[in-house]
Amino acid sequence: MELSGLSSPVKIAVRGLTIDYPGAAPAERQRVLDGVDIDLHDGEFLCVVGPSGCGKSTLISAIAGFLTPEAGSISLDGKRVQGPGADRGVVFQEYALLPWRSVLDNVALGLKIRGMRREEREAKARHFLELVGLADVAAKYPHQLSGGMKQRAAVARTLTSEPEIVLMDEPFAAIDAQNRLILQEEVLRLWSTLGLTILFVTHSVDEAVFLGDRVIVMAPHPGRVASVVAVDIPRERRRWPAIGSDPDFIRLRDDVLARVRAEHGARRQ
Amino acid sequence: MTGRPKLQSALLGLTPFVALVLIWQVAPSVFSYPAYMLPTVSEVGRRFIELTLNGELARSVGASLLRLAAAFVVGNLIAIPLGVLLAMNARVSRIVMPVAVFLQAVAGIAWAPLAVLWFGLGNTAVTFLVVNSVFFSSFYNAISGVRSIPPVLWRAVRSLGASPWQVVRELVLPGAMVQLLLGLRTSLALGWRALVAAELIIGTNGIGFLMMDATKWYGTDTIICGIVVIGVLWLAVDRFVFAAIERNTVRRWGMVNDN
Repeated sequence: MELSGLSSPVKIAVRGLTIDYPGAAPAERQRVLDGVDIDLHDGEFLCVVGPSGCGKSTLISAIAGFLTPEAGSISLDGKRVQGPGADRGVVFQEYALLPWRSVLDNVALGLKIRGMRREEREAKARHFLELVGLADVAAKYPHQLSGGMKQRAAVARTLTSEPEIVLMDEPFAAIDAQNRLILQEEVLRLWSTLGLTILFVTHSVDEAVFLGDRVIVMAPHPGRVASVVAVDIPRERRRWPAIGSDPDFIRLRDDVLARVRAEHGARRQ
Repeated sequence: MTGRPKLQSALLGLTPFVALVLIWQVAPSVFSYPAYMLPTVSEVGRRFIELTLNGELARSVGASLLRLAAAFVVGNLIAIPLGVLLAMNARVSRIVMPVAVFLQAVAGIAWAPLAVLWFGLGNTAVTFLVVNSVFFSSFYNAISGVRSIPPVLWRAVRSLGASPWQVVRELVLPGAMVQLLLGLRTSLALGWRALVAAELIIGTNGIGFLMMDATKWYGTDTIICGIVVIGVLWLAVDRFVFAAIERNTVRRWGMVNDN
């Protein structure tokens, strides 16, 4: 069994991560993550699933540096994470493209912020636009694109900055079913050709099993890691729609689904 | 493609003005009133030509516009940075907000008595009042504009490694542009009104002064000329300057919709 990633060094180490959301009153303070331990290995594609309220998006926000932990730590290559930074690229469910910048300028934004000269950054942005299949809409504005194209542009923007790791927060949740499958295949292709390290949060078990080397199942109230499932399906078999009838895929998906449902049920008791 | 509807809507917009002039034209034959209260259309037209030829109108309008421009620039240079800073920083907001609300109640012309005692009648006092009027609409629009930027955009820009100053340049100013433009537009309109009012009361030249001065010799024709000039100037600025800015920024970016 080949588990790509697990033999490689740890990129992101999450240790005892505990996060509270302050309520309006002290009594309404809520624990969203409670003592979460996660290792993300160099070159790994790690997926996180779980019922709503399990804090999976909070996990992404914390690693991105948008939240301050109550306890515990997050480190990247052994260095403690403090605040947002370009070493951790984020792809948001809402695309988060700047409406006043053309697609090309959106994709080049990270390089502009870094102070790269115009021709240089535009050439690089064009290269990544080509990689995601958007070369011909570089001059358009985000509002002129479909949801799927917007998310491709957002992925290109994140990749252009060449971050150490890519955090993806339910990136395809708002995309229609047909395009979602295509984007899943594309993100796998980018991951393998560019050698990316990805932490991918989703509510779709199919998506998680299709994409991940491992799938982390989280439990809610408060959010914590319930179990970790290794997905030992060879990469060359990960193609829609064929994988839908692959016995290994079905077995793993049903396994993960059962674990998620168990956590969902546990909450209701 | 839009040529015909555009012309049509311009003509539609003109109709009330034409109607008003017609009513004015026939008024003397319907109602009876002393001629000095409301001169005829042609009398006002003649006076307009007179004022134009002797240069008095250009001098007055020029003085007013120069003062308005100065007050507009100064007022906004204070209002917009302060509003942006306040919207981005909770502590600044807690310090500045109460005083801003207090001052808003007495904004504009209510400062006239103090302005006269501090600066005397004339230019400085008028400019002070106009700056005061210009300030608040830009200030509040800047605040609500910055606060209307979706949180996910802040996160996106910061996770690309932006410094606070880069956040302001790349996100805050363009992201608040719709409201900033609205604030500028409103503040110029309020400033224009405050200017005329201030010139009427404490001015020593300008279009407002020209009108007030005309009351000494029952110059209703001059006063009406003044009213028309004030309105037409504003219409031109609103239509050509602000509409053009909007077209080339927020409209192009898909940030506002026509209904």
